[in-house]
Amino acid sequence: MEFESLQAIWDTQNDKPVFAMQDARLLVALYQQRERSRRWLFQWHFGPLYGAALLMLAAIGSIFATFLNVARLMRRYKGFTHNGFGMSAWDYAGFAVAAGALLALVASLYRERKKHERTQEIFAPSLREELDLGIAQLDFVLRVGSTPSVMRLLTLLSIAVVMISWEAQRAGGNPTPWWSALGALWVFLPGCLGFAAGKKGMERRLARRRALESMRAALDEDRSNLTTESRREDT
Amino acid sequence: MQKEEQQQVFEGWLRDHQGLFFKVVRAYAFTPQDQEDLFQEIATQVWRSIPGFRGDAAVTTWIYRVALNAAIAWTQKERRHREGKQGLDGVEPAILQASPARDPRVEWLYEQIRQLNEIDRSLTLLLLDGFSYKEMAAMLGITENYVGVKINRIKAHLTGKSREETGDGV
Repeated sequence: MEFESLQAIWDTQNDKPVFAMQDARLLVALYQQRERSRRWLFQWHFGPLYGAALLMLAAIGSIFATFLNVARLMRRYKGFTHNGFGMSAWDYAGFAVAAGALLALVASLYRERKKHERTQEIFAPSLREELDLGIAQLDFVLRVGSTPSVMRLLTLLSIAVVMISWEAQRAGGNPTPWWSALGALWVFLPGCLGFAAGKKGMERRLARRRALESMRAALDEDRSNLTTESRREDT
Repeated sequence: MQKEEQQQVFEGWLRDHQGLFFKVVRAYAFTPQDQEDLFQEIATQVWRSIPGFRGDAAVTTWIYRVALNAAIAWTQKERRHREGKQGLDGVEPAILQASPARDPRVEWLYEQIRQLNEIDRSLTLLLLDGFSYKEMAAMLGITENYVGVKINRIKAHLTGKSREETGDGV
């Protein structure tokens, strides 16, 4: 075979429409992609945060119970050393703030996710709608990973960690554990590092979003051309 | 350049020249995951390159230049990081599945192109898409004479392979 024949084979690629031939296949592929994106978001973002919040709430409960029963524990266990001070109104407030921060975190995550999921739990009846849902899913992922969203989350977590650490130290007998404030660093430092590491992923998602938008524009163009042609044929 | 303007240009380029994107991706990445990855890398690089486009070259030339550079850089990076590589988020490729139905003859041609080294792959794509030796030389930063020598070798290689395979229906 001569090179000209290979060239002719190569050029056959230019004669085929990119989308129109495979609407059904593309629709299924986009649906699977959207499903995976939803699962990934739950497994790596919402799920771990719900789990962490639950563990921290359990920790708050056990520290609260320990602090409340300091006198009894000192009587019962010889090894339990404590200055003997009881819980003050500020300690109750501290526990309430820690639990409140965690509940606010869980509530906002749940509300945000539920609102989005209501629109996503369907198999789109058309390619156009599937593209729209795919774009909405990417927008949601981008919003969840945006700076304000991550900072709000880290702030609530930091408040909870600092208060839990403070009360845990006081329940253990240290009346003024100022270094508990450093607990915020334990949340913010890894959080910010993770956020910075995820920047490239966000850029890729933006590129994917642009590609989906472009496909939708091309689809609209194809359809409008087809409509114009069929009208011409009708007349 | 405003972001909105850049977005419009990008969408137009992607719409009008998506075949070019697919060709480069299919020549440089083999698995669907890698193709998805490379497609996004090229799309990102083309997006970034838009403010630098002054209209001195044709749009296809510009996109080809950016896409091939991105593909070569991606290939080298991939080679270094292939061990333990994980997908970004496990998302299956969808964009590339939208590429035209597979023609076994075209597939065979891609298979042959993939077996060439990175520079020869670029030259083959440019040759098959009708670029002149001068344009190829400018894009890849090599001399026109060297392009000529390489092209002759590539043509001989591909026609030789096609003769070997003619019995298989290519």
